[in-house]
Amino acid sequence: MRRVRIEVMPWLSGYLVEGSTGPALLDEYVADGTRVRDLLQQLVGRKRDLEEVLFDSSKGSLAGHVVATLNGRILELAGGLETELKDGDTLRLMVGIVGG
Amino acid sequence: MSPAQTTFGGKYLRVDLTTGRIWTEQLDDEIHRKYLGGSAYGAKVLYDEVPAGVEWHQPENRLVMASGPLGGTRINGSGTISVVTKGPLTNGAVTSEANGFLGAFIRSNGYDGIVIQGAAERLQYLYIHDGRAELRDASHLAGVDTWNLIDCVAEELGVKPSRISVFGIGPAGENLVRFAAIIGDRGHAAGHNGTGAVMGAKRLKAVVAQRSTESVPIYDPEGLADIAKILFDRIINDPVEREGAYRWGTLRGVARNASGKTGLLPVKNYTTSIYNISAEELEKWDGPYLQEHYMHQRHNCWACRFNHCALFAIKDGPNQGFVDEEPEYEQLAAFGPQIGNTDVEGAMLLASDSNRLGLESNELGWVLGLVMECYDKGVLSREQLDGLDMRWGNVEAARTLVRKIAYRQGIGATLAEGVMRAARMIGGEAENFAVHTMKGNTPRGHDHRYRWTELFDTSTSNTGTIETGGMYLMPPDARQALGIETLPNMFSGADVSTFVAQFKGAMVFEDSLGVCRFNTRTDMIYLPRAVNAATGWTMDAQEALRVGLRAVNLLRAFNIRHGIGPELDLPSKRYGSTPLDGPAAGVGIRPLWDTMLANYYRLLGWDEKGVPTRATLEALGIGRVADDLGLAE
Repeated sequence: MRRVRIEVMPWLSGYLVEGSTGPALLDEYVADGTRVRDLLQQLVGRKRDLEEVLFDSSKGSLAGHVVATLNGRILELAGGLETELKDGDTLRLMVGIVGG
Repeated sequence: MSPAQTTFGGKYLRVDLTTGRIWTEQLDDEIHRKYLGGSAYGAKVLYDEVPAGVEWHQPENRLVMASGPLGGTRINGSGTISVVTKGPLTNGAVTSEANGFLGAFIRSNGYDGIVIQGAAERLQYLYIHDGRAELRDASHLAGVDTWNLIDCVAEELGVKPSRISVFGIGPAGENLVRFAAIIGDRGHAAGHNGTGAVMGAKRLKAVVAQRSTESVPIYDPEGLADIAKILFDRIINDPVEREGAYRWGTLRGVARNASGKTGLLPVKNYTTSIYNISAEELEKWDGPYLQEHYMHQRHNCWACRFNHCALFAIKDGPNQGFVDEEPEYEQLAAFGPQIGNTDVEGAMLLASDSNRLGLESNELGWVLGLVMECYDKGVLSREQLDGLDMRWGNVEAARTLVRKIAYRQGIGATLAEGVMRAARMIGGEAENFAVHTMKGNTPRGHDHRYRWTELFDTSTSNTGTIETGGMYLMPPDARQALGIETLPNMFSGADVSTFVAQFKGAMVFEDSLGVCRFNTRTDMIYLPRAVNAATGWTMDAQEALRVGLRAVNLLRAFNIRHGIGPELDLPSKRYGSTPLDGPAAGVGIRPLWDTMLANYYRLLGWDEKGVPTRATLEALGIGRVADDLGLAE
C-alpha cells in the first residue's frame, strides 16, 4: 500500500468535507499501481456530486477550471492522470480562476 | 409580424465630428445577418472605411461603439457595448467590450450603435435621447475624471444619474496616453489598445445615452424570454458557475490562486511565480474579507443578477469614506502581485486611480512592473524617475507615477507610450524585461506561461487582446455542439494551437450581440436561438461561428493592409519566457512556437505567411478581400 496526501483547496474542499471553507487534507492509502485517475475516481465514488465539478463531461479529463499539481508540479507536466502514484506523493486540487 | 417585412434592429447613428453632421444608416437584412452588430459589424466598418495610411489619431479613423441584436433585452447582462477602432498600441485593429448600460440605453433609442468619424475642434460630448442625437460642448468637462463625469453630465442635463449611461475619457484620454481607456457607468471599461486615446484624438469627451421609454423591438418576445431563463438556469444549476462567478464575480481570484500556488498569478513582472505573502495578509485579499470590511454594495449591470459588480467604501483609516467601484481580479492582480504589493487597500486605491484617470489597468500594471524591475536592477535610477523610490510594492510612489503618466509629466511622458515603446525608450535591459506581444499590446492579468492557450491567443490575435478566449465558461454540451470533444493539455503545443484555431469565431460572434460573457458563456446552442428569437432569422451554430470567423478574417486583412504581418505573431522575450520557479518551472513555449503557428495558420485556412487564402475568404462571403490583398485566383 502507498500513502498519498490529497490537498483539496476551497471551494472544492466543501465537496469532500461538508461545510469546509478551508483546505481539506486527506491521507489516502492506495494499492500498488494506482494511478491519479483511479484515486480521483475513488474520491468521486464516495462523493458522487464531486464528479461533475472535477471532471469534464466528455472524455474523462479534468474540468477546465481545475488545476492539479502532483508534488508541486502541474499534473500535465508530471505525467497526467495516468501517472502511477508513489508512496508519499502529494496531489493538490484547486480551482484556477482567471478573471475579468 | 413577418421578418421579411420588418427588420429588427440594424440601425446605426453616424456622427461626423469634423462637420457636426449626424445621420442614420439602416443595414439591409443581408448585411445585418452577416455581421449582427458589435465586434463583427465594427470589423466591417473598420475594413471598409479606414484604408492603409490612416493612423489611429487621424480624423479618418473610425470609432465604433455598438450593441447587437440581443442588446437591451431580457437576456441577462445585455447592456454591453463593443468598441472597435484602430488602436495606438498595435497600430492595428482593436475590439474591446464594456458592460454596464450603454448598449441597452442606445438600443432603447432605436439604434444598435454609433459610428464616429472626424475630429471636433473643441471638446464635445454626444447626447442620445428621445430617439435622436446631438453634439454638445464639453469644454467645461475637460479634466473631469471618469467617476465624476456621470454626475457632472446628469446635473447639466437635469436628470438622475440612473437615467443615463455615460462612457467617456479621463485626463489620460485627453492627453492621448497610448493606453487610455473608455470608462463608464462607474468603472466599466472598454480599454484595450488605447480606445480612450482615439476618443481623445477626436476630442470627444463622452457618449451619453438617456434611457428611452420605448422597448427594443423583438420578433418573438416570449421565445426570447424563455431563452433568457434557460441561460440563467444553466448558470445556477452549474455548481462551478454558481459558486464562482455568480456568487463572487472575480473577487476571489488573487487569494485562491495564491493559496493554491497555481502559478496563474502574474508576480513581479514574471520574474517569479511565487507570490510572497503571509496567510494573514492573503486573507484580506479574499472575497469574504473584502465584502465584510469594505461595504460591498451591488451595482448590477442591465438585467444582470450576478453578485459581481459592486461599489466599495473604506470604513476607517486615512482613506475613510472613499467610495469607488470594487476592483475586479485583473486590477487586484495588476496592482497586487504584479508589482510585489501585499497591501490590498493599496491595490484598491491604485485601481481607483487607474479608472478615474481613464487608464487601462492591465497595461498600467505591466508598465509599473517594468519600472519596478528596472529600478530594482539599476536600469532606471531614482533621478530618472523624477525622484520616486519605485521599489517593489511601493504603492505611494506608484500612485504618484500613475498621475504623471495620465498627465504625461516627466518620466510619465515616456511611460505613457505603453510597455513596448517605453522599454525601447528606456533602453538597456528594459526590452528584455517588458511583457507584451510583438504587435504592441499587453496581456490580461495572469501568468500566461501557465495557460498557453491564452499566451498563444493573445500573441496571434488581431484585436489587441484575446480573440478565441479560454472557453472555460462554455458549457460542455455547447462545446460538443461545435464538434469539439476534449479540452487541451495546456502544455502541448499541438493541443493549444489546435484549440485556439478550433474555437476561433465563437467569442467574436458573442461580442457581436451586445451581451456579457459571464451571463451567456459563449453558449453556441442557445445564443443562436436567442438571435433567432430577437430577429426572426433561422441561424444555427455553424452560421453563428461564421459571423465570428468573417470578422476575424476581416481584421486580419485590415492589419495586413496596415503593415502588421505574421512576424509580429509573437510574444516578447519576457512574455514568452520559461518560468524559473513554480509548478511549471523549466517548461517554455518558445521552442514550439513555429510549429504551433504553422498548425494554427493551416487550421484557419491561411497560408504559411498567415494570410487568409482566397478559398477561405470566399467561403466566408468576403471574396472581395482576396482581391484587395491581391491574392491569386
